[in-house]
Amino acid sequence: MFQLSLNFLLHNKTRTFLTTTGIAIGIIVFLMLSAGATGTIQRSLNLYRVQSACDLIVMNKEFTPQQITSIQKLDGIDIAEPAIIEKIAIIDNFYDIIALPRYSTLFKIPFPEYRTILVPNFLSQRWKIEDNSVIEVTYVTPEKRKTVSLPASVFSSKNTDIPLRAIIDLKTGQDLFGIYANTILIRVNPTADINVLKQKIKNIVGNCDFQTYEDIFNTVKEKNQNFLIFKTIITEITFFIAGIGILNEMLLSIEGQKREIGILKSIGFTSGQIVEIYLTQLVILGILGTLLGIPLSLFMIKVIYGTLEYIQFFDIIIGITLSFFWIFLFAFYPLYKAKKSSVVDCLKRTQQ
Amino acid sequence: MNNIIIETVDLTKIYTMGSEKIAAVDHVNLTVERNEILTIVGPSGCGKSTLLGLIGGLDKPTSGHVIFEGKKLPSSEDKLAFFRRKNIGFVFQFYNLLPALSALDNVKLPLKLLKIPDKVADERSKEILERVGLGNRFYHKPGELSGGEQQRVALARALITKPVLILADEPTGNLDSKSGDQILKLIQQMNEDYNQTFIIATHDEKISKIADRSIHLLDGRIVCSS
Repeated sequence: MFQLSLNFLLHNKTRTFLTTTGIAIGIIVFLMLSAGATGTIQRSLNLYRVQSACDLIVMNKEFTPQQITSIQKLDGIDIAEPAIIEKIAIIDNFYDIIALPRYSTLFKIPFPEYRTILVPNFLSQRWKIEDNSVIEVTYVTPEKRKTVSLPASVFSSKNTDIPLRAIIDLKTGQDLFGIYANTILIRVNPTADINVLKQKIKNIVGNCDFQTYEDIFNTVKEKNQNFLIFKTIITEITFFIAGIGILNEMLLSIEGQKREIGILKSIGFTSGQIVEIYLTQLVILGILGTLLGIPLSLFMIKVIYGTLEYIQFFDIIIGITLSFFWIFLFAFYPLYKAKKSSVVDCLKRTQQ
Repeated sequence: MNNIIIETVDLTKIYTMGSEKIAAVDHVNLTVERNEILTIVGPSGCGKSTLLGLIGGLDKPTSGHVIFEGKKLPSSEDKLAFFRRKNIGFVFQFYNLLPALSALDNVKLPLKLLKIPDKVADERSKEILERVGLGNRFYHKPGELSGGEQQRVALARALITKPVLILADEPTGNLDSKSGDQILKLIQQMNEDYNQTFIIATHDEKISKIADRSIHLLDGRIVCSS
């Protein structure tokens, strides 16, 4: 069967060329888009890493100054700073209040810069907040009630893209929330094992939550979910278009090959064996398309993105699987037609 | 051993064209003996090819049936394919060779279906191609052969599995008279050497001369037998 399929493919050079090209184009588009998506995630992550300046966040109800000092002394920790992250409600909106040390080593930008924090414009208009005005914020828990005055500037901004968040200095935060810190922002030494460090920190502070670089990565990835969906749709459309070409080509080919099908059937080939011949041809075409598509994709990704690090082995596997899926899906109807062809009908065509 | 190889019982094939029904083969009762050369003659469209198709299991009758060596032809497609593979050799007017394959590979194809080892299949195919005078054309593709040569390859392919029945539809219809004569001579030789039965649909009176018996078909019915 293989030899026969190969002979048919070599004989129908145009069909072989067009189908192989279709498959290769499908794979190229998929891998290019995958590389694009991975590149976007990677770049966002790098940006986030630079901006966030820390790669491990430890959270608990409360940390004491002694605990933080002990953590700062751990091997593998470059910087560890106390912080408070809390939610407060102003009217119907929740704000993340982030309290950081005024002269943070982690955040190189001088602290006052962070005071230009953002709230929706309507709030500014309604309250007519002036830069030098003061807002009284009351923090209420079942145990305590505390009111502090915060400069209005921490809530005001022309920019509304960033979620409701206010950064204040740690001392004000400690005064407002009545705790020393509930978060430790850590920069880990690149040579250190983050899992070992997590265990050591747990030994010092007891139960606590961690947010690591991987968690951030996943968050960024989730945010890129829409792009991934877009990529999949575009790829599917590409394969669909390539598939229509394959379908058309297969139908034409089967019309053209009805004679051969008739001959094979008259010799004694069963319908199943004829389908097998066609499927073998498709597998050969799929392999050829893959062998052509993958090196070309890698070349184009290298040229366009300047690196191959955005392409993942898993994407290549998915690309190949998708291309085979579409090929077989589109080949199904022509194969069905081939299977159902009557011998007499096929042979009559010869004489027309 | 029963000497009758083929028997058709009230064999009928009706084609529907729009609202009209046309009986291409109309209640044909026919018996063919082993080792016989039978010709089916008649004008174009009288049902010769349809009758051959029905006998060879290429087509299914609307009513009636075909009995081959005492057994009714199977009705399932796959069983019919196995039946053809084992018992029937076809020769067509337009040769019907696979253009992608060489003469040798075309002839070998039925042996491959019977799972004959490649080496044996090769030897047997070469032998029969030499027998039909194509010893120097093994590796030529059909496009590189003349009509007469292609028909000889088709004949070799039909004979390679030594089937008991050869069905030939206008085997000389597309050939010049010299090539036609060569084919007829081969048919006669094969019939004598291998005791094979030939049913030949033809316009060619020369074929009728080599036949043991001829039946005349008109509008799907046998009008006379001689």
